[in-house]
Order: sequence, then structure tokens, then C-alpha cells
Amino acid sequence: MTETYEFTLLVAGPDLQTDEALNSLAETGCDDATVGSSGGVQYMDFDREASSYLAAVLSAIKDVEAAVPGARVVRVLPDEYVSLAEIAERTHRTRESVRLLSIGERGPGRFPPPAAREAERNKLWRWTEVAAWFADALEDEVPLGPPGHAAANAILDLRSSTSDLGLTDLALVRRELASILHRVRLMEIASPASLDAKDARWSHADSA
Amino acid sequence: MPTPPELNEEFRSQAERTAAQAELRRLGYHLREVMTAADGAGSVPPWLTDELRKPLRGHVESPGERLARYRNVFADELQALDDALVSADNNQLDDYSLRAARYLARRLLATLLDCPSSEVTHRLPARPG
Repeated sequence: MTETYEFTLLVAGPDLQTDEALNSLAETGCDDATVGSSGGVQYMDFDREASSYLAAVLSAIKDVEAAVPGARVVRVLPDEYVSLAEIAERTHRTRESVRLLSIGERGPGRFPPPAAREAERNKLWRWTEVAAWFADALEDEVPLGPPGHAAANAILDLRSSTSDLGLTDLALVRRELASILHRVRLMEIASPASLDAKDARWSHADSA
Repeated sequence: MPTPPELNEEFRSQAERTAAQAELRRLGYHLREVMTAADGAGSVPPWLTDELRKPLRGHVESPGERLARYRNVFADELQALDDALVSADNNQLDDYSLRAARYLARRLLATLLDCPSSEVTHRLPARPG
């Protein structure tokens, strides 16, 4: 069963708005996107049909990069990293209210720590952690974002961050990836849907 | 079938986690007995012998044939569980992985014993040692 998912890709590299690039994008299946740029940043707004959000995003990334040589998707929006102002907007609270929650002067405390710019005034948090805190600690209904959104950006971050690593660090990354892969494989195999399918096969005598 | 909520939760206490580790070790011990027997590297454990003789949804097959078919159908799952047990022995399973491994072990044994997952623990002998 498929659904249509909306998302935006930020794309670095060659101009996507030339006739040649637009034609090529359409030919590789990106006729479900509109191309634009703002402040020197190129973006593509997608309405893509797929079996899941992550499947939609990953297929769009593959299509864009195949269509235009040198094009490289760097981010999927809405961004996982959010400022206090963005948290306030998404949770329908005032900025001061969120600031007080973040430093434990209001609410039950244990607000997630900043994920970036910890020592600066304009700190950034991971939206998935913040949204989970609002849901657990305050029982607020806040949009978590589609499942797979953080994973999509993590994949993009990872592939762009390994190019300047030395041999030792590459080996460390490979080891961590192997561990993640191991865990993902266990989750996949132990999922009820996967086991139900195997049980159905087991129930047929000719399955050996 | 919806995902059981227990698969997506962290353990609420160390005691709960320790109990889950103990259950996984016990289930894993018996599943390794099954794998060893199916691979011909050991005899069929007594608790399993009687189970394999029971009719299974109209299938006519000997205990050995059923064990071989089980090993074949669930080869990937048994391998994943074996890997998880090694990680568990080294205390390298996070909460989600530990829950997934325990769920997998229960389901694998429930299928073999043809009973609900909730009954698996009661159908197994106490782990020796």
C-alpha cells in the first residue's frame, strides 16, 4: 500500500533550473517535484508516492543524483535540528515558555540537552528528542515528524562526513556501522510482520 | 498484526532488564539445543522429543524431518538469535535489541512447540546448571 509523502530536498552542485537539468529530472521520475532556489540554496519540493516516508525520500535522492551529474542532496527538510524559536512554533508555546522548560525552571525537568552549539546563545536541539520529551513529560501532542526522517538525514550526514577521515577513523566508522547494521538486521528479523510471514511458510508442509 | 508495544520501549528499571536478560539466556539455551540437534551435532533433547511426535496441523513427517524443516525455514532467524546471544553474553545489547531478541526467541519456540508465545516458558524444562 502506498501513500503520498511531502518533503523538501536541499541540493548542492550544478544549477538544477537549466532546461537540460529539468528535462533530465523529469525523465528520471522527478516529475513529482518542483525546483526552486532561495538565498543561493537549491531545493526540490516533492509529493512522492511510496510505501513509506523513508522509501519516498531515498528514492527521490537517488533519482535527483542520477539525473544531474554532480548534484548532491545534502538535507531533507523539515530539519531535524531546531532552535528554541522553532520549538516554540512547533509546540504552540511562547519562546520564553520553552526557554524556561529547557533550563528546568518550569515543568518536570530533564529537557533534552542541546545537540549543537551548546555553548552559544542560539543552541540547537534534535526535534525527535524534544518532541518525545513533550509527549512523555507534558503529554503534549506535538508532531514527531514522519518515521524515517531522522534516519534519512543521518544517512546524508554520514556519507558526507566520511570523505575527510583518515584510515584509523574510517575503520572506527566501519566498526560502528557494522554494529548498527547488526542491530537493524535483528529488528527487521524480529518484527512481527516478518515472523508472521515465516510462520505462514512453516505451516505449509512443502516449505522445506 | 500491530507491533507489540514492548518492542519500542526502554526498560523501566535495571531489575526489569536483568529479568529480560535471564529469560533470553534461558530461551536461547533451549534454542541452541534445537539447533545442535537439527545440525546433527547432538541428540534431540528429551523435552523436544515428545513435542516433535505431536501432530502439527495435519503434517505427516517424522520428528527428524520436522526438525530439519524448522532449521531450514527459520535459518536466518536462528542465526540472528545466535548472534544476539553472543552480544548478550558480552553485555552489548541495548534495551531495544534485548527486547527484540527475547521476542524473537519466544516466537521461534512458540512456533516449534505450536503454542502461544505466552506459554513457551511453561513448556520448557528448567535450564540445567
